[in-house]
Amino acid sequence: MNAQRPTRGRTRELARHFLRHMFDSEWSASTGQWQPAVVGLLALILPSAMLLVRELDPFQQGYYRRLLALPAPEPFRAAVMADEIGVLLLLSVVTGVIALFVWQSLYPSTRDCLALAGLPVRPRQVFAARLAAAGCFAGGLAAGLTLLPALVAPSEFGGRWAIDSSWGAAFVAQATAAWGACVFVFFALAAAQGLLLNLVPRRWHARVSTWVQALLAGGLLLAGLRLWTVRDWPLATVRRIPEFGAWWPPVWFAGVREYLLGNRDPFWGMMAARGGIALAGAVALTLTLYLLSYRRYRKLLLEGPARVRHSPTRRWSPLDLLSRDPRQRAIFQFLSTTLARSRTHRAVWLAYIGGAAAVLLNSSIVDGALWVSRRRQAGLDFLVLFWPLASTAILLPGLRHAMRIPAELPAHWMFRLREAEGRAAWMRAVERFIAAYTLAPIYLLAIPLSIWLHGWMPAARMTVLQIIASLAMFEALFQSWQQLPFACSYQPGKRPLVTVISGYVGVLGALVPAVSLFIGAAGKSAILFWVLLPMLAAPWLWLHLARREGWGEAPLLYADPGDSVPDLGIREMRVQTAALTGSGAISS
Amino acid sequence: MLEVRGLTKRYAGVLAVDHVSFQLAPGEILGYVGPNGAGKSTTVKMIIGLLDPSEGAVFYRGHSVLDDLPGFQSEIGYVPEEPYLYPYLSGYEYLELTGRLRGMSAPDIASKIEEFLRLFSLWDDRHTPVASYSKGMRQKILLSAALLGNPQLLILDEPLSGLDVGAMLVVRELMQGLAEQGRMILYSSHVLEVVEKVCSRVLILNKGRVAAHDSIQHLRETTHHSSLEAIFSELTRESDPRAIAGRFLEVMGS
Repeated sequence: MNAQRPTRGRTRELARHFLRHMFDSEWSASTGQWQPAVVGLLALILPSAMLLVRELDPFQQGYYRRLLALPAPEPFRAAVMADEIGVLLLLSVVTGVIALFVWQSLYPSTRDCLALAGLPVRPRQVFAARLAAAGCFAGGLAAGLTLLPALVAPSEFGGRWAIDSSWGAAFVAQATAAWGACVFVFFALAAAQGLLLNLVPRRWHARVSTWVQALLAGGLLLAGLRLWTVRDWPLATVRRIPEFGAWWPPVWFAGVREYLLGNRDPFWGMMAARGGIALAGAVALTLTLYLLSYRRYRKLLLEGPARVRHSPTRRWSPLDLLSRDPRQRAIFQFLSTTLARSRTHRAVWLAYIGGAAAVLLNSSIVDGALWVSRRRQAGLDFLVLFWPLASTAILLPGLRHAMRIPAELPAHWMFRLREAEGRAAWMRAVERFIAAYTLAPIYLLAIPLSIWLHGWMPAARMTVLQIIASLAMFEALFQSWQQLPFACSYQPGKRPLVTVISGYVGVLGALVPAVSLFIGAAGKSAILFWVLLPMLAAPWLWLHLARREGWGEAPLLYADPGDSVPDLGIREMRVQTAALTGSGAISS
Repeated sequence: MLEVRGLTKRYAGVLAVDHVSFQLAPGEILGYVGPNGAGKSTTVKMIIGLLDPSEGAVFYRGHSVLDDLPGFQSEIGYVPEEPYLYPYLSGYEYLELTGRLRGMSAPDIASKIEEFLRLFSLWDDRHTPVASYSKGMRQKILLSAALLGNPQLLILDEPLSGLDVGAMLVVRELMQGLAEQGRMILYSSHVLEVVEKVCSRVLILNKGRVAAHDSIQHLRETTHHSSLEAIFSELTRESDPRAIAGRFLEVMGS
């Protein structure tokens, strides 16, 4: 039957193809490997707004019932507004993260241009198909994200003090506002990419684009962290929204909801108009930039950077300080160059750096460390104590994640051929590289501040304990590491996303604060320091010795076994295919 | 002396290489030829240790290469069939990485890279990313990388692929020069004219099996053909090329 089905129009066929492969990029070894990860991601985020339903929270059940029982409507409506802005912020953040995730699929890739070059397809058809795919994806994603909040909100925010208590009106208002916010964020990011394409000089484009991605990732994460404070805005803060929130997109779309429900307050009317204009503007700007950029973009893709950054024959690198062994230096060179030049790896790594920066900024905002002079000392104390371990907990897994993604997998033959000569040296180089790229910068920043705040001895005690704790985290994360970074095939989504996020929440929300509190106390008390030192050093040493057992002897892995995936054996078939594809380059 | 004894490879039950045996003496260039899918590249990958053989063994200077694989690998220079390189590295950086992985000293690496790149007319493009290189330029980088460690055994899988005529002549002369210095060269190729000119002996592989293994002169005498191409056709051809081409034309016009 399939063979007899006529082909559709070229643009439509292409759009269908692009939509099916939205998540396939250079991130994984072969096409389709991201499907389990994406399914996990969508399963997690589609009902994400349910997190904000207070009735599901055992500590907040009856919250709205109590407000409805009050004689005046204002506390109820203020609480609804805070929750509504929280929902819209969460949906915007989730949409933004996904848009960044598919950033490279929003515009045609070099592969698209080359693979379609010999076919009767015009460049503008490729662009139109990409745009159509991005539009369908954005619309579908926004609808998926919107559905549950739109179903829940009428019940959650309904009652006698609601502006319009009918279920249908509340559903339409909520769905429109949430869908608009999601689509706006998606197209705003697509437009940002278009602006970069049109404005940034060709030779800087890839670098600037990745940095912008990282900044946006950090900004979105920071916004996500602020979410929980938004929900708890008291009545006075909600009253002050016109003073501080008039240029905040979630407030615009909250205005859309208010307007649709019948609130004719001029401020919310203005916000609704702003939301509508922003949405239309983002879509129109994206369309315009697509049209403007397609010629330039083809040139950018097909002609590529003319030269790598000026590299004199013998250049000094700080990494040279780490070893004089040429084999170790080879690995440093390979790792640092890949992280710096491979777009995918740079994007992943910068996203985690953005995450660490977001945690730092969030901590600073929470404690007023950077802005409130009367609390500056206490705030900085908190930062020096909390941030090094929190950053370690983000950057170490981040670098591990980036290093697991292969770079030009078939090119790893050169390492396979030389592995036996220098396996131990390579592994040592990888260890040092990780320390140099994660732990060293964190402590180079933290130590002077710690000394300035606490004086030499307390700072030394705290830093020693923090470094040992960081090293223990390294040992735990790299316990079974048996591969050369960027040279092994990768099966994403082996651990369910819920587990990954729960792990981060547990570590950043419980383990790191608890350990930091002990370390802070040990900084002030020499006795406590000597008690805590063996308690931290012993697990680190044990993990270190366990990792080093047989270290440098066992052959490195070049294909991800992917054998720990509980997926009814479906993944196993994929792994075999991927293994064949991975070795295909070797055995062809 | 390189000795390959009964080398066999099976992929999921499919026999790719079937008991291939040959010897390669110092100063010798062995032409390793065969149709597509005959198992040439698989044999090469088993010899250099990228693939584990299902059966058989490889001996170098009388010892199994598995006794000291790193030692064996440090003596070989390899040019793979496909020019797989890290696209974001420049040609210079790739060679520098190769030299460092071989444990060479920095001045040695720098001087050799400069000479090689100048000889291959790549010096001006040394800081250009490999992604922007043509196939021939990539091939020159791979050849330079193979020669960088001053190897005693060269395993070249289609080394002339993508090279211009001038570079092909250089590589041909280079192979002969290396052989005169007593180095061993296993030269796998489809370009039979070059094989005929530079190789002292030839091994023709067909469907994973050795179809012929002799000096070209002796093969000419025994098969009564004047060229290697005719010998190769007789030993490996299964259907008439003219008939296949005719069928193509028929299908295109239908």
